[in-house]
Order: sequence, then structure tokens, then C-alpha cells
Amino acid sequence: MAEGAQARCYFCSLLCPVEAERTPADRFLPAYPTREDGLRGLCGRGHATCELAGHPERRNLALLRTGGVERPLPLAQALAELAALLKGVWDPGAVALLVDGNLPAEDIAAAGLFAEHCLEGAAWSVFLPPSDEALLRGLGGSGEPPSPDELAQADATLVVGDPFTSHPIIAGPLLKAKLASREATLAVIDSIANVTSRFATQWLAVPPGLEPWALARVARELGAPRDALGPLADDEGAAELDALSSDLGRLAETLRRAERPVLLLAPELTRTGAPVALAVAARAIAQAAKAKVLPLTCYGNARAALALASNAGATPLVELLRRLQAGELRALMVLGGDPTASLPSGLSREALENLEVLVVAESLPTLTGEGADVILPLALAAEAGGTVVDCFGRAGTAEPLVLPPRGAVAGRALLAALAQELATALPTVGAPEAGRLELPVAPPTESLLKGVSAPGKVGEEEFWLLGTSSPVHYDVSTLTRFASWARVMEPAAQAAVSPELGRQLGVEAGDELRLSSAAAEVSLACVVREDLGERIVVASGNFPEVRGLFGWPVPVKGDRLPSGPVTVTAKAVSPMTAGSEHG
Amino acid sequence: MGSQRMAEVIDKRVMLDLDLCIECRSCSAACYYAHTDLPIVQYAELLVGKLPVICRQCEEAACVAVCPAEAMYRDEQGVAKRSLAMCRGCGSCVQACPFGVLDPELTRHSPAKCDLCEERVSAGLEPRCVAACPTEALRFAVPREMEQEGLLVLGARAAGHHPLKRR
Repeated sequence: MAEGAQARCYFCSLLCPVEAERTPADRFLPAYPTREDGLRGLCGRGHATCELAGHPERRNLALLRTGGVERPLPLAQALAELAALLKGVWDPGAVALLVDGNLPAEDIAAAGLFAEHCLEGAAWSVFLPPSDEALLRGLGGSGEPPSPDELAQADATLVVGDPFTSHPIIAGPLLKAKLASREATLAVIDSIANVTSRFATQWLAVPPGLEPWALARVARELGAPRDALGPLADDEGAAELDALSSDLGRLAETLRRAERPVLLLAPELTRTGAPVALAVAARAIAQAAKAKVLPLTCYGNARAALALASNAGATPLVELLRRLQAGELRALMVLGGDPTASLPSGLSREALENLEVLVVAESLPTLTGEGADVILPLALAAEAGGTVVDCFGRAGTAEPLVLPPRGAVAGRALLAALAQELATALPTVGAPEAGRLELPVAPPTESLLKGVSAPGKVGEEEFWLLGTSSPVHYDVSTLTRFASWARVMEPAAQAAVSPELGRQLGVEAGDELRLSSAAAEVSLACVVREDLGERIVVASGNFPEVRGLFGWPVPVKGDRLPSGPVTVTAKAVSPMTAGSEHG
Repeated sequence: MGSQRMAEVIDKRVMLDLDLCIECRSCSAACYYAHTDLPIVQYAELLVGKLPVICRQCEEAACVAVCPAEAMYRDEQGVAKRSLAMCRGCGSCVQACPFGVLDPELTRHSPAKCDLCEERVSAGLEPRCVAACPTEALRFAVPREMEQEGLLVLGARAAGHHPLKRR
């Protein structure tokens, strides 16, 4: 990256540089290194990076749990006992490794090599939030993303989602572009009014889940060929977009006339429909309007992770989850992140309890590790350092922010030590070659969009549940919930409804609202928002209990993990309105 | 040189350009972590928006005038600050501040008070809230310079008619 090797914040794909200053009170505070790429600042989550490094709950000892008893052990001893456990269940077909995609590329590469050389070809997968994976798969081979300078000079910017909230640092160049001239446009497509839309010259309130179909209509207006859109061209199930026809046409005309158009995709896992379809439609627009596309993902190192997984033949995540739920695995090693918090149904406690051996390498106590037989202390990604690729496609070296606490080690070192205990050898892992960090070219559109369909209408007694991120919390697998600032700013999940819906349900601000989906049920404190539609409930998508509402079917079906809004029933739960129920 | 630096510090204030604020609360995080977890940057809730409200470092600070314990004082660089040791937690400063930037919720018996990130400003750096801001909505500037840009200096600037629809 332009600034040279620096430590990086991994809490989104901007991978902002961050430095840690040690204070007289022996704390780490973030410093603000000068940037040469025109971006500036550090968001709240970036500040939390330093806190997590010195967090009092950091894992720095291994734990062995047997017969309900937990024994802390030095790492070397724990690895020896773990090796013995693994040998007890030895069957390469029944052992798997799941590595978090938000680790440096060297750790991810080490996981693949470990599975191949030390676990006799056992399956390994990379965990990415499903929307990240789908978006990047769909955009593979679509050309270079715009640079920050190109963003700041765009004369027409089309945004899907709310990047000012999910990726605050990107707001700098977007606002520069918008304020550069009166003719510059900023168009936002999202199902709810969001922070970015307040700055927009045009906001299209697309019905929940129909964002890809809206983009497809824009692409068709621009003359994109039908085969570039596949089934999106037929528009089946998207009749609700008819009311926006003239707005979508106007948007297409704006992009057609622009000299430097840019598309920016910031889908939310729990709100935006079919990210892979979004990517396909965006590609079609980009080709027709000669625009560049910038995908913003939740995971900082998502591009590198997906590239390595694809180029090294990793098992698709959906397949590994299917095998886990079917009881085909006897042992699972999870390296980093907290996939259970992110995909509660995919890696449910029940499925994990079926394992004979569950090993979790974690930096902080995770939901995934709650029932683990072995806990290994892992360095944070920011402490490990290594190769990263940001959303602009810039590959570079992230220096370690600080040294990890004594006892915690980087994933690659952990696997190398375990390999020795297994009497095998892990090949040395160096910085991956540039070619291995390239996103794979997207498959043909028809196969990419197989099974993708419009979300359909919400039932009479139901409401759309849309999850939102915030500049405070981001995908629960990134562990931002351990940050004290995040806990102060957003201590608990809430559900927001419009005043009309509140009256219909008999709830006011502060009352409790019980939401029930096909996957789970949860009660949340209610807030009332003037700017919401009548059949929409919005909840903080980055709390595990809300994430559970967006659960996936068990067993996992299809060849991709779903994402996007879900339908729920809602019931007031309060002394004043007990018995008031809709749904 | 020293007196010029002192005058410069007194003259600069943290100013909010409302048209650029995206409510990301990066300023809050920057302030929170640097001041031992005291929430100094407050937020005004405006409809669905949260906009930062930051100490104006008034020339005639009401919080300093009203403090019975001399816990609120102006240091030799002209920065209005709070002494944790002297503060009794009476809350007079909170009530006196005309801009409502002092949090009525006391933390460890004392209200949080902006100190203009003195150690950074003395080193020629910006206060943390300004350095953290991704859009330069927060600027550390001399008010008369802001006025020369045509900005109405009330601690905040809004060019549009609607507080939440930015121009």
C-alpha cells in the first residue's frame, strides 16, 4: 500500500493504518499516522484495535477441558495433549480445519498447508461472512477497483448500502467528490433511510431484498446485454420496482452522462438481498457505463482470504457446515474469529457438541470456544502482522501493531508447533505470491446466480426484519463487542419500528418487542423511528442474539449461504400491552 | 516564540462543520480512550441523528466562573480544564455551561471536561477528535479564520435548511 508497511486495523476492508502509543498509565492508545492516499482519520472500531490488544480477557494460556474440568496449561503441553487427542480420532475424512478469513494471508495459507501436509489432506475452509464471500465471488475478474483519488474525483457515485455507517473512513473521498461541483451526484440505493442517504442527491428506497434487481434495471437501461444479467434480466418477482421505474431510469441517465462514474457496494449481511446478484448487476452496469466498482466488505482481509481459499482448493464453507451438521465430522479445529456468533445456526452449539474433539484458537473468549475441548491462545490479526489486501486491491505488509501477550502466538506459529507434535512438518510459509492473491474470475452468470430469486412478499401477519451495522459494532465474528467504548455506546441490541407500526403493535419506545423468525425468538427493547416503513422492523445486526434471528436452515441447503432480510412476527411484551399481538 | 504558541493555542477551537458530519462517533472513541474512559464528547440527538457537541473553550468560561472549589480553572496556556483532585462533583459547571457539553452523568464523582488534548496540541498536533474525524467535519481552527471562509461560527456550521439533509 502507498504508505509502506504499517500496522492495520482489520475491522473493515479499508484496513486503515494504525499505530499504538504507550501511555504513562501503561495503556495503548491509537495514534494517527499520516496517509498519502487521501483518506484520513480512524473510526471507533479502529480505536478499539488498541484496546483489544491489551484487553484483560485476552487468552494467554491454553485450556484443556475434560470431564467438566478446565485445566490451564502452557501452550507446549497443551499442544502435546491435543496431538494425542487428534490421533485418537484419526480419520482425515472426519477432521476439518476452519480458519478465519480476517487473519493475515500467511496464517490462512498455513492453515491450508497444515490440512494438506499434517492432517493427511483433511478438509479446510475459510470463514468469511456470507455477504463478503458472495460479493467478491461475483465481482471476480471485473477489473480494478477505483483508487481513493478516483473516488474523490468521481462525478457520479452510485452506492448500495450505508458505507458512511459501515465504513466511515470512506466518507472522506465520497464527500469530496460530491462537493467538488454542483453537477456531481451521489445516489444511494437502500431499503431504509440511512446516514449516507442524508447526503445523497438521490435516494431510492428499494423494497427489502430487491437491491440487485434494481441495479439490473439500471443496467438494462444502460443497454447491458441480457446474458450479462442472467435471470436478473427477466425481473421475475421484482414487480414492486415498477413504482421506481422513472427514478431508476434517471439514475441510468446520470451514469450514462458521467465521465467518471463509480459504483460502491456496501451490502449488509442482514439486510441486502443476494450479494452475489448485486455483484453481477454491478458488473453489468460497470461495463455498460464504463464505471469502476468498489466492494466494501466486513472482513478486512476478505479479498486475500477468498483468493487464497479459491486458489488453494479449500472446501467451500457451506459444504463444511453441511458436513458438520450431518455429523460427518469427528474433530474440528477453528483458528480465529467467532463463527458461531456470526452464523449461530451454521455452527450451532448442538452441531459442535456432536464433535468428539473441538479445538478453538482464540484471542478472547468466544461463543465458538464455549464448548471447546481445547482452547489455544491466538495472537490478534493486528499483532501477527502479515500480508493483507484492502478493498482497493492494494496488497501490502501489515506490521505487528504490538507484540501479543506472552503465551499467545500467531496462527502460523501455532500450526507449526502442532505439526511438530504430530511428528509432521509444516512447510515454511512466506508472503504469498501476488498471483495467489488475485480474486478468481467469476463463474458464468447462469451458474453464479443458480437458485437466486427475489425475496417475495411479506405475509399478512409478518414484517421484514432488516439488520443494521453501526460505526460501533461490526460483524460479531470480529470481536468488537469486547471493546469498552462499544459497550458504552451500544450496550444492547434494539428493535426499531415506525410510529404507525408501534401503534399497530401497541408498543412505545422502551417497551419490549418479541421477534420470532423461523430460526429463533428474541425480545428486544423497542425504539420508534419516524423514517421507517410500516412493514419493517430494524434491529442491530451485530449482536449474537439478533444474528440468531437470521439463522440458516438446518441442514444447510443449496450451494451458498443465504443472506439478506428475513420475515418475522412481532409481539409486544410489556405490562401495559400484554396480549397485544400481531403475527 | 513561546508566547506566540500560547496565543495560537488559545485562539484555536474545535469547530464542527455540520454539513460534513456523518455521525460516525469516531471523535467520541478518540476522546474516550485518551481520557481514561470518560465520555467527554457529548452528542445532541436531533431527530434520528447524533451530532457531536464539543467544549467551546469559551473566553469567559461559565464553568470556571461558577466552580466553588476552583476545580475548573484556566491554565497558563488558556485552556479551561478540570482538576480531578479538587472536584467535589457538585455539578455546578454542568448547569452553567450554555452549550451543554458537560455530561450531567458524573464519572467517578466528576464531570468529564475537554482539555483540548493539551499534550498533543503542545506538540503541534491536532486534538484527537479532530485527528480521528474521517471527513474533516471537526477542524481545529481559529474562529476568525473560519469566519473568513464565510462560516457562521457557533461551534457548528450548517449551510442547508434541514439539519439532517446535508447540502
